Formats: sequence, C-alpha cells, structure tokens
Amino acid sequence: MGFEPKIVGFLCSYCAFKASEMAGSLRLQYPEGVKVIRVPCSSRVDPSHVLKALFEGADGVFVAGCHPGECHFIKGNYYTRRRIYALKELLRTLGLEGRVKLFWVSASEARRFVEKVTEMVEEIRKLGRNPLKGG
Amino acid sequence: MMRGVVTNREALRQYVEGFLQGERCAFLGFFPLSDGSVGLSLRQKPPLEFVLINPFFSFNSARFLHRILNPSYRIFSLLRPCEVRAYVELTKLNQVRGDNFVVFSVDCFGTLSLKGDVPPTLPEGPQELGKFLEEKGLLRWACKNCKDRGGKYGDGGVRFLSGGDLLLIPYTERGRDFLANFGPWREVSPEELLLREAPEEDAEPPSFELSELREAFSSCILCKNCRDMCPICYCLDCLFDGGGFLPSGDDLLNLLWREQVVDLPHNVLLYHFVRMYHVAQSCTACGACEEACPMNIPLTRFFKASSERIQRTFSYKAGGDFEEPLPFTTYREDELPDASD
Repeated sequence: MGFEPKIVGFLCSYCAFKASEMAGSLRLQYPEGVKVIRVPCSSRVDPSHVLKALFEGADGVFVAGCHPGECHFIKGNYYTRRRIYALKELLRTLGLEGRVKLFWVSASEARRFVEKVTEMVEEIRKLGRNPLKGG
Repeated sequence: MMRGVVTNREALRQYVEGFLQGERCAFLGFFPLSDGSVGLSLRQKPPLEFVLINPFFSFNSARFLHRILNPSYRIFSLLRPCEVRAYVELTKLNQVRGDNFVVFSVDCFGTLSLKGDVPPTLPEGPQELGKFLEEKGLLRWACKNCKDRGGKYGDGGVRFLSGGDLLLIPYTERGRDFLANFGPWREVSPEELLLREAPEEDAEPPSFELSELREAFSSCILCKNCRDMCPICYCLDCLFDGGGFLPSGDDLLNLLWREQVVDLPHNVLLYHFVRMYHVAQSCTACGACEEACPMNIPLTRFFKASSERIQRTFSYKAGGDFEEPLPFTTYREDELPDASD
C-alpha cells in the first residue's frame, strides 16, 4: 500500500470552510487524508497549533483564509499572512520546508479549494512521511 | 557627531545619588559583591558605588523590570545593551509600564559565563577586560557573535570615550528629562569612542538540519528553565504548563493507545520550536536561555538564527526603537506577495 499523507487544514469559517462544504454539495472529490478544522478566522490559528499538528502525526498542514482585503473581520488575514510567512521562515531555518501552506480561498471557490488541496497532497506524497512525527 | 554630556564615573554617581533624593526614586544597576563578583541590585539610598560594567552574565536584568506596575516609583537603570533591548520589547508587549522608568544602555565589552571557569581576578578597564576575555576564550557564545555592543538603545546611552571619560547621550524624551540638569554638553565625534564595533554584516543567518537539532536537543530534560529565564517569554499561562502540549499522566496512556510508542520526555522539539516562534520577533540573542540550561544545550545558536531570520523578513530589529510596532501586531496591505501557495 502506498503512502497516503495525512493533512490537517485550518479553515476560516467565512470562506474556505464554506468552500469545502460547497465542494461536498457539488460532489467534488478531494483526498481522504485531508482533515478539516473550522476556525472563526484564519488569524485564530497560532503557529503553535500548526507545529503541534506536525508533531502529532500530520504530514502537512495548511491554513486557508479569505483573500487579502476580504476578511470578515477586516484585517485578520493580514496578520495570518505575516504569521504563517514567519513560520515558514522558521521551518526553513530548521530544515523542514514545504510542509506548511497558506491558501486564499473564497466561499465560492470550491473548485480552487479542491485543486489546492489535491495539489498539496501530491506534493507531500513526494516529500514523504513527516520526520517530526512522535516528537 | 553625537551630542551628549561628557562626564566621568564619579560625577555620574553623584548625579544619580542626587536623583535618589527625590521621593520614591530608585536605581537598578550593577554593584560589586563582597566575593569579588558583580550582582544586580535595586536601591533607593546612597551610597551608590555602582559599576558600569558587569563582566558576568547569568540572567537578563530586564526580567526584573517586568510587571513593576506601581506608577509611583521612578526608576533609573543602567544595563547592558541586550538587556535594554529586551526591556524595550517588553514595553511594546505591554509587560512593562515604562512611563516612570529611565533605562540607559552601557557599552558592553563582552561577558563571561558563571558556568565555566572563572578567573580569580579580571582586568579593571573595559577595553582590557574585553581583550582578556577574548584572548582567554572566556567570552560567551552570545557575546562572541554579538554585533550590538554599543549603548545605542533605550532612553539613553553611556558610551566610554578613549580619553577615559564617559559620554551620556539621551535618545528619548525621558532620557533628555533625566539629563536636563547635567552637564557639560558637548559634541563628540564617533572616532572618540572606545568601543570598536564590528561592522554590520548582511550575511544570511545559518540554517540547520533536522538531525543536527535532534542531536542538540536530545539531552533536554524539559525543565523549562530556558523559558523561565527568557526575558521575552512572559506569558503567565504558558501552553506548555497544561497537558495539551506536554502530555503527562493519563494523557500518556491515551497517546500510547494512539501511537503505540511514546518517547519521553515527549515533544521536546515541539517545545523548542514553539518557543523559537513565539520569541522570534523580540529575541535579542542575549543567551539567558543558554545560561539557564542545566544540560548545556547551545540554545543561543538556534534562537539567534531563527529570530534574526524572521526579524530580517519584516525589516525589524528587536529593541531598536520604542516606537516601531512589533511585526506581528502590524501589517501592510501590499506586502509578502509570495506568502500564499
């Protein structure tokens, strides 16, 4: 049996989460390993949540929020952008590039959501298992 | 040219003693101890036989300006640049009520760790001290790699001049107020400074391999001393005090059921990674974490590299300025076009 990556996604409930629901109602398929966590805003996600997911078994983590300028709370996703960018910089310093992603997906972009997630699963499949798992 | 008060240690001492005459005024600085070493002390009565240079680094003094919330005390303080930078960060993080504090940074010539061999006597003069520490290989890693030894931070700076005098330069309104009755004021050229600072390099901070990190942190016992002694790690409710991030007790059995193998202590690297991220915007690479580590893990290397990289990304310098907003509390609409995937 091949390696099926486990992906944890933190989805903003105003956009990406709606898109994932719409993907369901449109019968669009995305890989089974993707587990979705609904958050009130992408800026709710502290990078410690992302790191914890990586240590507790996820092979990749993504944060999905509204496109810049379209945040329900006006500016939440601008903060997310800085944080996740900094987190990626940190992971680059520590030799763990490519396992954390940031997507902008609006509520109507079900297809984009499915494309992005499928793409990510393929990339992580190439990267292989997460070396951090289990501490 | 730099404009400031040209004075000497004795006159400065008298001026600070004069400041203590005021009601509820205190001084925080370094004092010689009876055993020949130097310690930090908070005082409100003369005599103030303080020293400007403390060759020993065992903790970051900014920790003690934390949560002094009583607005009635005025405190003047002479600390090292890395400590003052941490203090500046703490004011921005709302952990210090800075209105009544005047914190000056003093030129630093390097420090030694109390964990290693401590020579019985140390040279008197600042420059001789720096030379001595460097030649004997006693400099702490953090000091050896420090590019910010000048007293250029906080409310003002105390700079050593090559003639043996001191130059006091105010940087903020509070610093100017403090020095208002002091003199004589003079213009001094940077050539007269005793401290020769290494030129600022624009070299990329190093990156590491995961195997390297695993090896370095393999001896970690998760005592969390590094967190407790870090001037920036101020949270009262730390993530790592609950069971969510560091499972213990029954959580371990749940984890065992899920994972079949549980290495202990669990999540050592997670702890350090989360800390690295959380202090990244404000880390001044003072090395207090490393001093606190009972297992002698070279923490400063990793924390300095990761924080420098993140601060560079946002063109920010921890502790450089009271006014500049913290990178994670601000944003520009048209930045980081390559942040999303």
